[in-house]
Amino acid sequence: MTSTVRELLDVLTLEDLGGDRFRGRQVDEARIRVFGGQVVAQALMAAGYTVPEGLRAHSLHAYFLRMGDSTVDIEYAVERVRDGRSFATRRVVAIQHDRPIYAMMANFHVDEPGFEHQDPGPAAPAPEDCPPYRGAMGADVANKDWRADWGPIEMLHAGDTRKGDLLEPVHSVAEARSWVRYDEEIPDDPRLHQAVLAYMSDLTLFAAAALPHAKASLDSFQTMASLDHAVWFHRPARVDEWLLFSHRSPVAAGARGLVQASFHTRDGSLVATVTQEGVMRPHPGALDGQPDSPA
Amino acid sequence: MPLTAEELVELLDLETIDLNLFRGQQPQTTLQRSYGGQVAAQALVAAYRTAPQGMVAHSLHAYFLRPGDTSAAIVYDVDPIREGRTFATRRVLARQNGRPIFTTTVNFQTPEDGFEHQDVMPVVPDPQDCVDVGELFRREDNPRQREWQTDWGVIDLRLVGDTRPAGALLNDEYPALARYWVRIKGEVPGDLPMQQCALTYLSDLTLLGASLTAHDRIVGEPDLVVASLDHAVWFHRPFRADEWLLYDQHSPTAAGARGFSIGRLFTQDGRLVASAAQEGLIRQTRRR
Repeated sequence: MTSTVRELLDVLTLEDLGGDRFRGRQVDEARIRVFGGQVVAQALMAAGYTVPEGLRAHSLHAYFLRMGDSTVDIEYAVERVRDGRSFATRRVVAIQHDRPIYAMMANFHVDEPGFEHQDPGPAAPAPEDCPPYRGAMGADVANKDWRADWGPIEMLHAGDTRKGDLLEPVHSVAEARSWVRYDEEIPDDPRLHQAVLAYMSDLTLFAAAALPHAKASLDSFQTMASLDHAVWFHRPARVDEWLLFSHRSPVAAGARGLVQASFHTRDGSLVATVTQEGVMRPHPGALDGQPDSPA
Repeated sequence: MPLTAEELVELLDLETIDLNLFRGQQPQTTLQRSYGGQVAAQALVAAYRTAPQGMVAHSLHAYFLRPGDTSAAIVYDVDPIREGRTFATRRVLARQNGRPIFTTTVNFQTPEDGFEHQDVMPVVPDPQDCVDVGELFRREDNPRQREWQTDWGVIDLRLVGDTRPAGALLNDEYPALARYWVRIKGEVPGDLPMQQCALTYLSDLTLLGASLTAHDRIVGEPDLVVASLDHAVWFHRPFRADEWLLYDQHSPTAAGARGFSIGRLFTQDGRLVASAAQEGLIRQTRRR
């Protein structure tokens, strides 16, 4: 986690160790485990260093393998899997204590014109009319810890499917919308904007899966952890301008929940899609009274 | 390509070459390059061969790297990258002539219970009341007629509707939707792992096509280069691949010559059992 733009840019500037290996710094040693979004963002930067100019990341697929240790730096080993004429593929393994904690594939593509369509952006009140974000899992922008943990990341609550909130749980029982932006200028490097988007995408993503479980709070869960993470970058975007972050959890089963989310610009352009599956393991007894609970 | 469930099972029965190393045979085919669903399904079989007893796959994330050569066997090299107490992870690299053509990571879990919720299944007509795509394509003068005769026989595919002009799902809001009922014809023997491998085989066939419905185009048209770039499947609950599944497909966007689709798979009684996501190259090569 980074509390200033300087820290964020430090974290996203990896040291070149030679041989396609890079070292990513840690800034926050207070947290027990490393923030997943940081690892995704650093790994994407590492992959980008090995790809020719003119190719842009359009997707990444990752698995979290072991809990990260926030007291030591992370080494990123990049493998050049494919270098084609218009596509390049990289595999990145994040290593701590000689063990992989994270494995990611990322694909890069030249700018190419082609068919264009997109869904309309979901309806949401303008950022000016939204209160600060208050998540399902207790994360709260008004909380003083938010500033310490996330610094300039601004997040606003634009509605969710909890009782009494803006969205009716008609087709989906778990939806949440928020406006998000980095409230400091990020330099004009498209790779940085993609990395920061990846960073921010992990912040509240999985909380959407907990929404339908009305009494769900952090206390209901023994374990809440990301398993995988995928991002598709459809169009260029700036992360220091407002993005509508729309989450939806189509399903939870087997102690896992799946979340799909999209980022739209204020003028409605769909710039990225994100998916994440996580494990949400209830405390013994927390399932009592659930219709399908295996009593 | 397999025309019966027995042939599909045979295709998915890999030869063990060495520890964590397997070989998959190629079926008879008229296709120019290997079908992605075949490679993904064989790779899942390879991952399962090395998975801890009792664990079940819950997700896979794959990239297609090079076109597969339909005349050469595929070697699947499995790397056991994590052995956890409740989760295990396998990376599979598929090679032909020493060159990687495909890679996937598969995550396994010891089955457990937890909170449950899911989307409501869309209201759709029964499979019996929907267009039999195979029958239609085999009959008409269709660009894919030949491959439907020789390659897709094991797949039972019924079109519920899509968003092409006059399509049953045409609406003012979402430009690219498609729905199919799908199943493997005949009986797929075996428990959940085999059903998951069979579903993986099915899951690659129509998904990217959903993104083309917004442009009134179909896969197979001579001026289109269509190629899967990645593929992800999440297995939520147990199911059978030889029973009807509603494959509800939605392409939120296409841009930069890439189409992107998300799919949900429901059993006939409305249980959401799997999800899929795929991005593919959709490149127009010359004027129609």
